[in-house]
Amino acid sequence: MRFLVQQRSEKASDETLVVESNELLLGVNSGYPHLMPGLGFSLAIKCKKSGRLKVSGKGGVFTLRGKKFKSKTLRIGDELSAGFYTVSTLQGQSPDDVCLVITRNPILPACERSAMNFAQTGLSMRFWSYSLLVLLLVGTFLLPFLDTLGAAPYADASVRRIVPTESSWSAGPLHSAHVTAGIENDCKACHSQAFEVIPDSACLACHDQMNEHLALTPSNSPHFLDSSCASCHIEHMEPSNLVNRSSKLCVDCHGKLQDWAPEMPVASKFSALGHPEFRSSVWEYDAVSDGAAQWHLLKPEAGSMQAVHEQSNLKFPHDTHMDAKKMAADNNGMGLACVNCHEINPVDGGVLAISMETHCQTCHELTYDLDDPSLLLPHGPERRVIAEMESHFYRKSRDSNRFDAKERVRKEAEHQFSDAGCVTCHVVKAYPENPIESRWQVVPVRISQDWFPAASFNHTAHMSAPGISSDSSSCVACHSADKSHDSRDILMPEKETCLGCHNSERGSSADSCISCHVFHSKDGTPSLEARDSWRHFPGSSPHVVQ
Amino acid sequence: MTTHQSILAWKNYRYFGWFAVVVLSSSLIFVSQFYSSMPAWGGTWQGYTLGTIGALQIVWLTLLGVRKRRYRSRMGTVEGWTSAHVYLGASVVIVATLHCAAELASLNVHTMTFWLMLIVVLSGFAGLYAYLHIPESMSQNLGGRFLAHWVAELTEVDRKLAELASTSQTDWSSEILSALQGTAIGGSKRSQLFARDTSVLYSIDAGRLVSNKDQAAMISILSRRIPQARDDEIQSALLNKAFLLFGNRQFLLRRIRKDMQYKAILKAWLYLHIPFTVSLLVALSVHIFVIFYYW
Repeated sequence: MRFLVQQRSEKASDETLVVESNELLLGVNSGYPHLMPGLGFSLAIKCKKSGRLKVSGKGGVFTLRGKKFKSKTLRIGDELSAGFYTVSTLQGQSPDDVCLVITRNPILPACERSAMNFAQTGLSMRFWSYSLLVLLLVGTFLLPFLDTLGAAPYADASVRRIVPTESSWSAGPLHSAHVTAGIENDCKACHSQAFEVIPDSACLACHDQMNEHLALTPSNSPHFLDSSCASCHIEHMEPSNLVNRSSKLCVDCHGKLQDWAPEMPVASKFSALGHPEFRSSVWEYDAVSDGAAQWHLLKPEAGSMQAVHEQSNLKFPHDTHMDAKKMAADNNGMGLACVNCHEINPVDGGVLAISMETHCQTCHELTYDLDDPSLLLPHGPERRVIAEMESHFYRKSRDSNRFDAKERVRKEAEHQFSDAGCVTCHVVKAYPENPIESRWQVVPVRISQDWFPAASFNHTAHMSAPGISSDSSSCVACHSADKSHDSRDILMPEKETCLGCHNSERGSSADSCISCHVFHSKDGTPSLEARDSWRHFPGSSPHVVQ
Repeated sequence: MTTHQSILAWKNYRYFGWFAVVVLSSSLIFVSQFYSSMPAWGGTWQGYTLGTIGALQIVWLTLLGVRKRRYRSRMGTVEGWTSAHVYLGASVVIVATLHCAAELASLNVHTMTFWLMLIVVLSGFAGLYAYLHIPESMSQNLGGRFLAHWVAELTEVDRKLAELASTSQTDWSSEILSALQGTAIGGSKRSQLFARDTSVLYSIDAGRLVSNKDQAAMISILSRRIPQARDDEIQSALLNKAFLLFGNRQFLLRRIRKDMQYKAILKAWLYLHIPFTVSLLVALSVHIFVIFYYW
């Protein structure tokens, strides 16, 4: 086998090299019969027994008919290129001869071989722009929109996990209460109509026990029903602001006196930082009227708490009861503690009502016959008291026949009503000319249960503060009962007592209006009846207090 | 003739004034919410106002792309538009932050609009930095000539080296040819941006392709051969010539590669800025649609 190798370049052709061998090595190894300078690898051309030529690249690939090969059988007439060389095979004169013409092509300048312009290479800006456009349109609009339309595939939870849903349109997390209610992924629970503000009915569907701020009338209702639930209660806020605690919301109306609702008894003179003087509500006794009409709830204009007097018609000196010396004989040598009578309601931290039977009668036993101290007068109407004494003394007189029962009843009644019994605690009016059964009248008693009904106060919460306990010394810090000798004293604290701690300038807790006051008042018209249906037809609802 | 003026200082900082007006008035609108009973958020009248300002700004800012292609337009100059684009673009970040009262903790189509806007503006800042600083370095690098001059010079050096190599059938002439063939410049976007040099040559000693980064391998081969060829005058002269040519080639390649890198940096930021502007417009439209859909 003979290889006839001729190298050609742009300028000249070299002499033909004759190699007698079955294998020809081409490349840069100095031991090779023919060098191809600049070729980054070696080519081995082997003549097989069949007479075919097999070429293989050692450490590189060559190109044949437009394809890259590591090894390939050549046909006579083939042209392969390796690096910047072209190797052409020609049939020699003798069948044993193989002619190889190696041409060195000019080396392309480095700057022309690959892209030098940023825009010419890789994916174009237009491609990225359109790709993102399509991605965004599909991901943020089309897929969530299909969900809002209730497309069938979205019913499958596994689809919802991977495909953008309507919740990707949610502007922020829901309040935990609404999450608990399970409406987190149910946008239509509130957004019932597209392109419409959330209707109050959406809120009231669940919050059906909600009341308005006050009892609505045809004249005041526009001031309240013009705002919807959602105008104050904003969802999707971070952090959640579903309950607007801003005092400014209250001060908008309760600041300076409003001229838009002269008929409404609006508490005014509030500011974001300031609270007017506390005004205590008291029951006023009207001796002339009868029954329930005898009591009127009064809320005198703001003034010092000392300027307003309780009219309970009960005699009760707090100082005496708390004084250990004066109570020595009656209470094992100790004064009474506040909580002995004023029990804290464990449910709401309020104070439970006082009753004669539970609280007073432990000491103030209604005995009337020293011979029989177990007998007690009923704590009830005067007539029953007289009747009790009459039945006791008439029976006793009949049995012993030693005294005049009628005289005994008169004397004991006299003693009870004007000397040391009922009169100890009650105001008793005497009518000496009347028969005995109507000779004395105990003036009715009504102890205020709440002097500040518009505010809520939790004693238990306050007792958890450091330094405050259920001990009387803690109570008198706010309620100066130890210095009060007159039951007409209202022992409620002045505003400074509260605002000394609950002060937004101090950054303390519970410093907004709704920390103590509620907006949706228990006395207000039920919202379910007032909102939506009635708003559009003012004055037509039978539920509105006229 | 006016001297070159930075686009930031255009017309005596006219658009910085606009920036200040937009930022100041937006801040006043935002602060007015503190005197209201409602918390600050996108749904107050102040929030809607700021949102409208921001959206109109974004739409106007995208119009720079239209204006700069209208060569015959007489609606201001492209320089003026660019200066306004930079300042008003920067103010969008502030307007949008005030619009949403920085409520950005969760991820949804609304907050995504904000983040896309931020990517667009920050990439714009990168572009601004490039436009302010690169042109000077670029003309310094090119020594006051066009790139074509240096490319032509490189082609000439390569031609000389190829000719020199073909006059000799030695190892080093083979290596020179392979170094010429193996010189890589440009290519992918990443190669251009980082001026990556993946040049190789076939080292006879090593018997394989070796890195010829910065032509260092070739220069080192030649510097080793020169003393060896002391006795052969012709070889020595050829080697010395090749050595000089490769020194020149190294310098030319550095220059061309650097220029290519500068040009790539001037373009690269646009690959964020433009596609994300398009997606911002989509997200902004969806954001506005959803706001009214869930009114």
